[in-house]
Amino acid sequence: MARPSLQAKMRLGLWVFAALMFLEIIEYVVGLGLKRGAWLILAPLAVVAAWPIVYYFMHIRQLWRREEE
Amino acid sequence: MAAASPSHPASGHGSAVAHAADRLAINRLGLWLFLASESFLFAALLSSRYFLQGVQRPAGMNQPLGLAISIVLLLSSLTAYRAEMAAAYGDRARSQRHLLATVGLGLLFLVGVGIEWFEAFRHFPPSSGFGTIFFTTTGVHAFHVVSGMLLLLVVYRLGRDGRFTKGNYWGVEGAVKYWHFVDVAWVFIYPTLYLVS
Repeated sequence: MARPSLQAKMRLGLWVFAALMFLEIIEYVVGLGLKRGAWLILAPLAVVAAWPIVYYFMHIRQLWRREEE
Repeated sequence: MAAASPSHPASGHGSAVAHAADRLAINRLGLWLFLASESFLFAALLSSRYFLQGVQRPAGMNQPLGLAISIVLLLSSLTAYRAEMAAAYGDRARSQRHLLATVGLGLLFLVGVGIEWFEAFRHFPPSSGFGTIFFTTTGVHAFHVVSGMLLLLVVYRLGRDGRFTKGNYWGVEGAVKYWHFVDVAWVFIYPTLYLVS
């Protein structure tokens, strides 16, 4: 499989950042908007926000896929 | 997970490449284990918030500032990622620029935390229940930010001396992974301290 270009990698980073921004703003709106039970939404949202960082930025797949080296 | 194998041929270029790949795999596993152990520290701090304070949120939290410093830290993860990718593709100048940008954003984050602390002293001092949790958690996290910045500066200095190449940039990768971990920790700290109610 051909290695993606550096520009493609940079674009991917921007998309991940945009998604993270979106999730943070949702968290903010939920946290300030709901008077009760906000944690029920915020807890899964935090997990959802952490995953793209771990998967795309920290490349956790490298632990079991050596071709990404 | 790839493990080190003693069965590689004892000579030749292939052996050297295989050894380097094994070494890199071991480095990565070691770093991930370290980050896993660090996550227990933050998990303990975050659980103490719920255990001692429930889900009550004190008045006086500077919410716009909390959101702003969160975005700054997320942006620093983007620049850190770009620094690593540039190093992986052999673009040293771009990698160096993004490393410096990451350190700058880390500094901006710390300034924001400093402002937050200044305000927090008035609303919930460290002697109060929530104040104890707030200052301990953000303080431990800020210490990680400072150590990450120092690590990135060391990597920047090494990069300036040409120590990293397209196929050999573990220093950049390791420092950047640590930085991302600091960001992941904040992704959980931010809603726990600022937003939960």
